[in-house]
Amino acid sequence: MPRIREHPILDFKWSERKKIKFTFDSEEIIGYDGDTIASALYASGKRVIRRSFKYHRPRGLFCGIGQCSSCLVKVNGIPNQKACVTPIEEGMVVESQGSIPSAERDLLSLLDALELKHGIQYEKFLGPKFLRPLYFKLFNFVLGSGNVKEEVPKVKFSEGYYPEKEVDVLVIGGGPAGICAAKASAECGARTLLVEERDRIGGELLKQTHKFFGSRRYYSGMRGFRIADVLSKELEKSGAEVMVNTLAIGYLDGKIGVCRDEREFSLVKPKCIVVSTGATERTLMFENNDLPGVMGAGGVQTLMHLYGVKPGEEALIVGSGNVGLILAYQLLQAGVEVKAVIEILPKIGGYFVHAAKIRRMGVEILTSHTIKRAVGRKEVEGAEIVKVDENLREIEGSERFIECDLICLAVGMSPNIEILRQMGCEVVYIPELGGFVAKHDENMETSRAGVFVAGDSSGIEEATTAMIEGEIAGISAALKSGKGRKEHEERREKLKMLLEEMRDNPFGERVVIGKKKMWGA
Amino acid sequence: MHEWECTGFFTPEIDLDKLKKKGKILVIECPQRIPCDVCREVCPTNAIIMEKISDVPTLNEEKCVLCLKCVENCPGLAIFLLGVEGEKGYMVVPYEFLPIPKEGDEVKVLDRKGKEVGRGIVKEVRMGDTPLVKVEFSPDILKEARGFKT
Repeated sequence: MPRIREHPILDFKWSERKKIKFTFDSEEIIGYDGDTIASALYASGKRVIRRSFKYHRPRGLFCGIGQCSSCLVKVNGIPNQKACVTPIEEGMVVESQGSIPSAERDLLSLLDALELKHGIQYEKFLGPKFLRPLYFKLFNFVLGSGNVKEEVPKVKFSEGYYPEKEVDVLVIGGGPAGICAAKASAECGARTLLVEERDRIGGELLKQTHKFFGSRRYYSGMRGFRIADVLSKELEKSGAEVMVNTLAIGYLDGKIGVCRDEREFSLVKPKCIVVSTGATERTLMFENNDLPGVMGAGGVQTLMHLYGVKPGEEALIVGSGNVGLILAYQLLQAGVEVKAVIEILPKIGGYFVHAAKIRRMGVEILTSHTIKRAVGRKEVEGAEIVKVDENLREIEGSERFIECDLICLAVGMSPNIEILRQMGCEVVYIPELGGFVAKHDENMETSRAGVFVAGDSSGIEEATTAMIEGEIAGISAALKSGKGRKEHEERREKLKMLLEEMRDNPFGERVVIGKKKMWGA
Repeated sequence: MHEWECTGFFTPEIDLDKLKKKGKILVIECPQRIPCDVCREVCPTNAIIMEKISDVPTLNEEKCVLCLKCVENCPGLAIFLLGVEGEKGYMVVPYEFLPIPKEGDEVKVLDRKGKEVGRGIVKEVRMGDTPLVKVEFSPDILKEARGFKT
């Protein structure tokens, strides 16, 4: 099993962990306590987790954090469960959806070979009327969206009454920005609640093994996962309440609906809201970009550092921003060979020192190169890369094949702004901030009074600025809810100055330009 | 655009005569303005000068006591100690891979591009959050040697 047995920074304590057995497409799989379905499958060499809707192409893990739909499976008869975030349990029955007989060997993959016209299901299967229920079931099966069995108990909603909780400040999302926001708000004396979708707070910090840059006040020089520990403890001390495994579902009439453990639904009535929901990894257009083995950089980090799974033997990284460069170093530490880091622009995107670290270990960084196609039948067996000219157009004849079993996409992120949009905040498109963002002022308040934003969901940046923004948003929200004193206002002004200082460099300039554009928009 | 922004390696001027005279020197290979203050903050003698957080660090050699705190804590692993002892040259570099070498091991000495430039002997390993390894080699490769492989 490709587990990371030894790691220079992390200790996975394999010998202390309980083994758990479950089945996937009737085959017995052994995972460890703490694994999700996807991590246990990946560690057992099962990369094909599902088949695509229409052509039944093999699909595997992509984001690893429940944001894409690449790994939906049927768990104990209930379809459309995300394999990457569902913990394994003894005796669990996991099946792939819509494949005959299994995801690995799916006879319906013949559909990929036929040239079917897009949308034929809307033309061909309309009549006769009495056959429609049959067609419906058939399509649900073939499309892999599953049919719910009769014996599966339907969730009962209580009639019209849900427990309701009043707070001063509600923080949505427990990454570095959210933790700092909740902490700052609670320190101002506001009744604060933080809700986090995952089983623990820390967000991306939990997956980072390198020492952080930034300011000493914000734990520079400390490894990411340790910063998560320190922040969690500080948050506890501040008196803010934390609810994990809790998803903020939506906003209605001044209340946020939250659902804990996928069962208990309740309402939160806050005076102010801080949204720190982070970002989603982007993908890239190229042939076969859906092959299992093509993964988002964050997904690879999740597999390696949270679940101790070796994500591959030979990797190609697309994108030389800090995420791509750091990932290359982390892959080397996990014992994976990094074939190259490719970058479409003529210069390296991330910090020079991150690039120098991997160059020193012999990893090539190919600037002015991009990926043309992934090669492989059921999983990645290689990649074809190509040089680009100054207009970023592919240069014919410069193609090169790189043998690898893992292609990591580190091509940027987009802010998660769904709930802000739903609350009616004004949204603007600012490329420098990563795409669509909720318009916000220096105090991190959006166009909707009392709704604040912080961290990557306010514009893609890095952890230290996310923490500072979080503090600013937390203080602002507390002040707005009628808590806090003059000293807190003064602290907020100091934080704004610190933020400006942190952005006074070639990397921060981009954000400064983006924020100015946003204010002008 | 600087060349190092495209290549990922940077070759500062190193005065070998000064190195031979002083015995050992600290080399900082951090040419880019990034928001990071770790070396300045861990330095016990305030030998690293950086006015604003994004400034490029410069070393006040008179104040530096070669305690290696910055070498161990630099998140970019961009600070090295180079030295000469008798007929031999050596470097002290941070090392975050497995296996961590032992004293007396022979290692491949690598340059900034990961190319082998010679063989070296591990003289000392200081364990910590980031292990520091002292590797001895021929003084001819002092300008190039910046890493090693076991």
